[in-house]
Amino acid sequence: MEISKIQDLTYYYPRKSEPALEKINLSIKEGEFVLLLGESGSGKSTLGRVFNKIVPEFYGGKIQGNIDNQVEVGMVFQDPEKQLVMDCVEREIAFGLENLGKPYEIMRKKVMEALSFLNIWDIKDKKTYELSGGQKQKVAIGATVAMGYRFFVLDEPTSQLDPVAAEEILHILKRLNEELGYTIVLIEQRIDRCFHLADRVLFMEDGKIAFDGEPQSFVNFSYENDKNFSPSVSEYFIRKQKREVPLTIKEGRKILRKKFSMDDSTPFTYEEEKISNEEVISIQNLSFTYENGKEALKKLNLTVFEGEVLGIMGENGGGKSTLLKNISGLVKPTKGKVKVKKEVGYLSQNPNDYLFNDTVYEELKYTLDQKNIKDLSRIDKVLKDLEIFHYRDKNPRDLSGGEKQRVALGSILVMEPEILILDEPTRGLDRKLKERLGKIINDLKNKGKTIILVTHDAEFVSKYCARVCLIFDGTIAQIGSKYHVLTDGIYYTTQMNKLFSGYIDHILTLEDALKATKEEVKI
Amino acid sequence: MNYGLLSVAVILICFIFVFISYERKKVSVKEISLIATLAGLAGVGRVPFAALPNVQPTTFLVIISGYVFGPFFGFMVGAFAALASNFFLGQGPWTPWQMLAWGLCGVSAGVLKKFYQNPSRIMISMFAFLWGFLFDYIMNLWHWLAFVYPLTLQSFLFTYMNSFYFDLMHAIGNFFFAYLFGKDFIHLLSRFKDRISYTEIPVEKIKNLL
Amino acid sequence: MKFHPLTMILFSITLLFMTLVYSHPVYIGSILLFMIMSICTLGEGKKIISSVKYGIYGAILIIIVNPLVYHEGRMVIYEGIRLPIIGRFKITLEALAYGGNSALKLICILLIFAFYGVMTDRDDTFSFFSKYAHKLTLTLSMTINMIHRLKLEVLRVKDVMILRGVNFKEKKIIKRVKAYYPILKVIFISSLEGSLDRAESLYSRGYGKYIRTSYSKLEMKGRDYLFLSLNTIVLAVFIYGLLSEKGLVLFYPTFTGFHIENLLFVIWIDVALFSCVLLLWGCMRWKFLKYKI
Repeated sequence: MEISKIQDLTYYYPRKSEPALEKINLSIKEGEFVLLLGESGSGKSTLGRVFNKIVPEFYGGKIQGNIDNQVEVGMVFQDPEKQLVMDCVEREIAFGLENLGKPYEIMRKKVMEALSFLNIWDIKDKKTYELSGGQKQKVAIGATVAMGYRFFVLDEPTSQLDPVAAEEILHILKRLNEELGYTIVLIEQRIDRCFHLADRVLFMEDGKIAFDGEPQSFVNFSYENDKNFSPSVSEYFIRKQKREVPLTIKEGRKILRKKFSMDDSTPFTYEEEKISNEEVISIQNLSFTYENGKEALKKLNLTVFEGEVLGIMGENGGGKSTLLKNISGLVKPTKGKVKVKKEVGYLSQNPNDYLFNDTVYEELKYTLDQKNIKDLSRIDKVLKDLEIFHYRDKNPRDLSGGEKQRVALGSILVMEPEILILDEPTRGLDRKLKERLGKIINDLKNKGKTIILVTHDAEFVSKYCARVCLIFDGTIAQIGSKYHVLTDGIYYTTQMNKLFSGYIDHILTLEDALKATKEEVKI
Repeated sequence: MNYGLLSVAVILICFIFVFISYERKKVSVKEISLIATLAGLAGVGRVPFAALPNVQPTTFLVIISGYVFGPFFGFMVGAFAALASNFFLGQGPWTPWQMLAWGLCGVSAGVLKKFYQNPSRIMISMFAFLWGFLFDYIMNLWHWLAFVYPLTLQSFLFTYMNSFYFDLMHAIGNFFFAYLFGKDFIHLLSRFKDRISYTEIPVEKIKNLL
Repeated sequence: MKFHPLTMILFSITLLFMTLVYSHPVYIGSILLFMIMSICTLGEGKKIISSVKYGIYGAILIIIVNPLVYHEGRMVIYEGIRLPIIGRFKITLEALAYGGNSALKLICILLIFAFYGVMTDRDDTFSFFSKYAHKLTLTLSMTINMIHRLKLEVLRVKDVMILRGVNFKEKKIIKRVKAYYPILKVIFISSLEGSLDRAESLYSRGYGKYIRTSYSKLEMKGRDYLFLSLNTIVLAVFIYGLLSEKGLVLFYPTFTGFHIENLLFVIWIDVALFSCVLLLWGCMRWKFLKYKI
């Protein structure tokens, strides 16, 4: 049964001459799980907002065509911080019901059910601003579930969350779809984690739907058109010219099992990158205790060498950000020594925190002015290196997420720091933007800069770092070559490693996997 | 008779009427959200700024909100800023007085715009300077009514003289905020006002466009 | 353990009235003692310090201003030169006492508001008011959420700007204010952008589309009625005392009314107030009150 039908839809945002959506024809069946993919700016968020008529009723603009909805649509947005309006969780969940004008008894029941379904009873009486990002997003989903909507549109609900919280959110969506038969349209970047959940994939390009079909055939479409939007497991098999492409690790391993056996696992011969032994940061017995008595770091030792790219991974609250603050000199260590031999540049996870000037040029110039550096030729050079020179006179706030990040990075790079710290740089970026960032990191490395990457993104670390350091509870759990730290794990590891673990050891990236299985053209 | 108590009661009753009109008024979600945002910004500005006593961007932010969005909006931003920030700094009978003072500050800025569409930088700065004193004078009035006896001209003048240094700091702070940031922030806010067009943008049907 | 907002609003009004009407320091002291006792009974002693902290400046001002501006008292402690506006520089004991008394009142008022905060849940108060004024409570709770968020954001942006070389410890005032410009502007722009997202969220959750109902879980419990009856008793004792001018004294031209009968009546007020503390204590400890009522 079709519950939503869009016919010949063309839509312009107010005061825009380019259409955001062009000739969209789409029908959604009840109980479908639809994954809506596309690059940033492809119109996927706009299409997501068509279902519950935020576009055009809230945004205004010009529209042509028909939108026919059989049911009410609930929407969950990207940033958990900006969705919650009430003081306490229970009232937050009831807020939508109040708006719908439900009587008190029904509200009680719905709130209770939503709390139980999402398993958030324990935070019922908490204040909304005390919650973690993942909890906030759950509350936002709970509030929509309670309203009784059976059709959900989610606009990148996990892009601001760490992987554990993201996994939980996706699991909730799976349950909504499978246990309750709700219809779900999910816009998402973490393709690896949600691809197998979908019944159908929509791919958007320039405001049009470029692909509409089953996930299996999307993998082919993506491969043929060089889109790089498939999960890495599928990507591997399709490059190996496999007909039946698996979507999950489980299916993938089933195929591999025919070729390899667990007993004689052949290690993959990898090349270790050479690292200079010139120390640029040396940390000895660093302890740090916050004013509220929280012990964030406990006798931590760490050495960073010149010209290397070091990945730091670990749980939130495990001491990563405290370590960064100590290295960048924002706080003084409670005990121990931090020796930083060269200037440090730091890029925080939210590029918006940097941008306040009217043009990109001035944004970079501001840093130079503060540092009393007179050499203004640096600005254009950095802009060119980051490929944002054509935005020189634009307002940085009008740029897209990835471009904003590059401007923020530029405002740091003009200081020409020898050490660069990037805090969660891949958050909210799609694959293409990640690759672009990776290229920038490689360029900087080739210029001899030392880079510290703090991230949850194992795929990214495995591609661009040489050494990885795991921080757990204020101390270092493991440090060493990525081929040691990231292999043989269950959490801090890559999809490819999970796929091959036990068959071929020490495989991290798709390139590794292709290289290791080169001889066997057909597996 | 205690005049402090009486004054609070009178102001409270006035506020009840203002809020009833707010409830009845057709306020869009964009406006509600914007009032809350600007009031939040002004409210968080009350934490000591730049480690200088009584130098705070609150009054300045209320003024530009009122200036760009009009008297009623300005009043609401001022009132909510005072009410909400006192949940952090301590509620008391002075809350209605502060709400009134900042509310009026917003109203006056809205009225100012009716007369001067394009005020010079120095004029906005003087306006903010003036409100530094006016705000404190309104608060002093409360202080005088509530805790000083007898209510004579002499004690009145003295109460005002006593806080002169703090009032001056407030006024000077306002002056600099308005002088350094005023034009810029007004421009930003006006641009944003254009973007949301304030009243909802009508949806047009495209005909024969393609 | 929280009470219904209405119970506490009524009780706070009673206390506020008593504080403002009484002029006898012992009476005010009794109320102050009651506030401290009850807040401590509820285990929130820290709140006393934090809320009084903000009133100290006002209290000191009162103590200083009063004796300086009013010279009517008979017992002169110090007399000096003539000054403009103030007139003869003269400090009298009466004026000093009046100032001290007013300062006591101020602290008392502060504690009444702290007491209200301890006794009720802020969310209950919100939902109580949202029944009648939902736009008001929605805007207010959104504003409070904003302040919480912005407080963290300011610190975050400050760190970013320090690492970009901004010096927040400039000596000159103008330079120092200027140093804060990026922080102010960054959070200003970000919040404006966020406000549109928030509005969108409100819209998609159906705000303003239908006639609203209220999710109010509040109901008067047994202990609310108990407290309200105690409130009535306190009020009755207070009014009875007022009719015979108990608790009222004059400071000018000299202390009048500080006789023993006027003082003894405070015992009745204390008994009434103390029974309130007892009820609170009982609600905390006594299972019957804690769970049954």
